[in-house]
Amino acid sequence: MSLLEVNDLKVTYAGSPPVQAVDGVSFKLDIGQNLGIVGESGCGKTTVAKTLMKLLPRPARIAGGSIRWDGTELLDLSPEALNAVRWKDIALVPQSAMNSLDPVYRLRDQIVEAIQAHDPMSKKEAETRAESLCQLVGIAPQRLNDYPHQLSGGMKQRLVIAMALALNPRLIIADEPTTALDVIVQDRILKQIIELQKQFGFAMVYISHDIGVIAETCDLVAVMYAGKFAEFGPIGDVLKRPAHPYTMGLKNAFPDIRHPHRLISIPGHPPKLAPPPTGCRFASRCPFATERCTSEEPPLVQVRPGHYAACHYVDKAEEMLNLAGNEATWNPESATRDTFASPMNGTSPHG
Amino acid sequence: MAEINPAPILELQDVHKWYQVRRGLLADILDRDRKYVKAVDGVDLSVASGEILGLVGESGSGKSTLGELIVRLQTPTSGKILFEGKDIAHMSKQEMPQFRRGVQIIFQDPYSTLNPHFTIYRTVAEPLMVNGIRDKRELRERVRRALILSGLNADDTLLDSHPQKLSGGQRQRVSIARAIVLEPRVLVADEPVSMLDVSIRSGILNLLDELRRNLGVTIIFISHDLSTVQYLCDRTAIMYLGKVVEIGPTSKVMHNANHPYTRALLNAVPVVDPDVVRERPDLDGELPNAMNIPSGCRFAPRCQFATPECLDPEPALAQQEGGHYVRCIHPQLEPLWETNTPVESN
Repeated sequence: MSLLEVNDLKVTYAGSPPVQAVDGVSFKLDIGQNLGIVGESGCGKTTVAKTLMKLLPRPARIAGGSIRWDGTELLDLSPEALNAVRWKDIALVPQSAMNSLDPVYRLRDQIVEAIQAHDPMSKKEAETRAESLCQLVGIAPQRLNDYPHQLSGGMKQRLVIAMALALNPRLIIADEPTTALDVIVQDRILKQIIELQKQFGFAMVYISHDIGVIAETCDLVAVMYAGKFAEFGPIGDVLKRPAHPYTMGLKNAFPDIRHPHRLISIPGHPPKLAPPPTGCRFASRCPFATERCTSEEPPLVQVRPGHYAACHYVDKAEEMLNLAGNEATWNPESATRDTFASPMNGTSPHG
Repeated sequence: MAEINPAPILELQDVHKWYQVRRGLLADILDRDRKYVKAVDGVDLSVASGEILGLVGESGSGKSTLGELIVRLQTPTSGKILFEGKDIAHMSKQEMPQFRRGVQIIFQDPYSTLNPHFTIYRTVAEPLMVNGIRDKRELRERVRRALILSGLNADDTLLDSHPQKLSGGQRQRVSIARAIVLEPRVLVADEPVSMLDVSIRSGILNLLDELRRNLGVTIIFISHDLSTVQYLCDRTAIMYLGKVVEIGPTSKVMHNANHPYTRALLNAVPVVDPDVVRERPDLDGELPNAMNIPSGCRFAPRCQFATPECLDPEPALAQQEGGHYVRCIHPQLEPLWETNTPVESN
């Protein structure tokens, strides 16, 4: 039994028709494992993060699936029972964590209050706990007497990470914890997260749009596109031998300062999800798409042990990868699109 | 590196921008020891026509202030900015419109810089109308041309739609069209891709490069992201607390970074290759407040190579080789990393 098992999770946002923000996401996570979820804005990665703690606001609805935490179905828990799990077992480092501190309370008071709310203990004990948390992330304990505005962005972020660790959770969900920060500050925080994980052994779901950050922090990665996992697997396999054209495109578009290469953008835009298109959601932007792709939705199939991709043509991954490095391949008017698509199944390519 | 006309189109001479810190009227009157935030604190730059210069720094380094000074959204506390040899602070009534047309700016956030009530046509035509062009046909023609140059499909549907209908990437292209419609000589682009998704970022970067090629426009590209600067810019200037600490051809600054701060910045960029273990930067403390800038080398308090000599006087920007300048008395000379030969993990 895994620590966390998410099965066929579906989340919709109310509307007519409803937006299918997350559609059939499944994964397992064991203690000590790091799963990175990488994707662009609107792909549903933050929705997944919040759903794992059932923290989604009103217009969102969990439309199906299950989230099993240590054998218990989280989606069936009463609000009280859920509160016992939140923060104690599963802690969240939210997006723009720097703004999640209350500006009118001293840091000491808000941290102590939060600790006491989840774990009954004396104020003195809670304060001692808060001080040791500070030291854990390299902040002098006397800074607890400050108000949030007196700390730099990086310090606030570190403090929020420390707060997530307060009750020794077994899973931390980090939603873009370094996105608003400068590289040097980001580097320090990433280093700290990795060290803390070595020390405490929690599992982590790490959400980011930055492939580099994910590559350095995670062992598993899910590439998310339009509410679905397009590709999933060990970080080395997915980044070095991608099998989904979207992953290939993302890699092409991502600059590598150590090994500069021509950047190729993916043409077009992600599809609207109310309702989502039939077939593969990436088909409208995919240079390799065929008619089958627009009519038949590809399931996640195994490419190699533990490595899955949702593409009809995973068996041609190597061929696609070779072509994907060529800028002309991604040009909607280019001829390579036709020549590649036709031998695949003999039908005309989708534009 | 592209062909660059050596005559400078833009020159900055010892430019300062200080903001006085207000501490109440009485304190301001009585206390002679006034405090200033030294956002830009003595910058000299010479930008050649047709080049793309990257201005890199962390938040608070003064890079955006410098951009605003160049387009005269702000005026310097001291120092001179020359556009085509003329001081932009003292231009005649005839020269001013020429400067305004000649120097344009693109901002970071394409969601808040386009007027939601304006159609795309009106948005891009506005600068032309301000400059006295009234002829409907000419307006429409020039708007179309700017949109096409910006990589947009300039049909009537687009011209008549409002920004809400467009994606982030398309909006940024509209901002670019608005900036180039007057055929400027200099374009200041302040973090133009940092709000955009990775998959469309490269399209905008390639577009800026094309504009330079096709229109010969000079671009000041302001960014905190070293990888995009490396991709686009001919030369790169690294700023720290209001001063340029290293400047030179991008390839030199990136692979032969001499200043310990530049090296720290570069080493902090995460590696995309999961097999490569990078050397993490080793910096003390946090970025000091621009109100209390350390004396001598302003980076010294955080620098692992600092010696007592670093504390006085402030090091000058000294030439290393081939247009590569470093403000450091202990420049680090060995290359940061080999290109194209990945470091094996251990």
